[in-house]
Amino acid sequence: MRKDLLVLTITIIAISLTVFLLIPNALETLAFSGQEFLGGEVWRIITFSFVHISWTHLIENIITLIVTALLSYEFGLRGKHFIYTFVLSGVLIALSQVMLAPLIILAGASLGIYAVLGSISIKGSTLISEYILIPVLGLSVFLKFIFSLITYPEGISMQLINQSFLHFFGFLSGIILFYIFIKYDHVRKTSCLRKITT
Amino acid sequence: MDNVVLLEITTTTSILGLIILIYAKIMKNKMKKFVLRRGGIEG
Repeated sequence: MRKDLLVLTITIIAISLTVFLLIPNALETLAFSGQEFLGGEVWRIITFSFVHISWTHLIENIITLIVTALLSYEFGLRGKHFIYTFVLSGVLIALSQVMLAPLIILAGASLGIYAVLGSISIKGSTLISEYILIPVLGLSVFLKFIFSLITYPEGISMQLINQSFLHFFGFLSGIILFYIFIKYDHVRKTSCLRKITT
Repeated sequence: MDNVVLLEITTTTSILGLIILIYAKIMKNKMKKFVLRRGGIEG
């Protein structure tokens, strides 16, 4: 694996493990809530991605993060795009929550992971058609919801619906951020070339 | 706890990711073999 992707993945896992093991009240102090954010606790917009409330929650997210990092390597997603997408998507969606649902508390790394998967679905089109990759990865956002709908529809809660939509917006933000980064890189390269030639 | 939205991913998503990873690996190897058979990339 590329060194930068490996370092970034290990760093995210290490921070998540540290927060889970060493900060027992992380949900109260580090998870994102629009109300607390507006009250001055601005760090929550970054820290909520590293807060997990159970071993299942943590392990599931870590396993998917590793798979996502492997996919990023295979499809050639650069390390800086990986981390910018992971952090920025969380920030953007948390900010939208400030206006839409300030009382909802967000915790977990999956927003960032789904955003990276969104970027991969575009970047990976060099190997696998985007007509396969986007629907397959995009559908995975609603897997839990679809599974509940088939097996136990009465068990569908507002939390599950919120979770599915947040994951979907994470995935979508990953696609949009990917195009923004590509455009930015192109503009930067063009200006560098212009400087060299003049 | 009622208003907490846990951003967790199901194991199925990881399995789906792994399947795509294996498929991508196979496609990459196929492309490599194709390029080698044609005597490398010209130019």
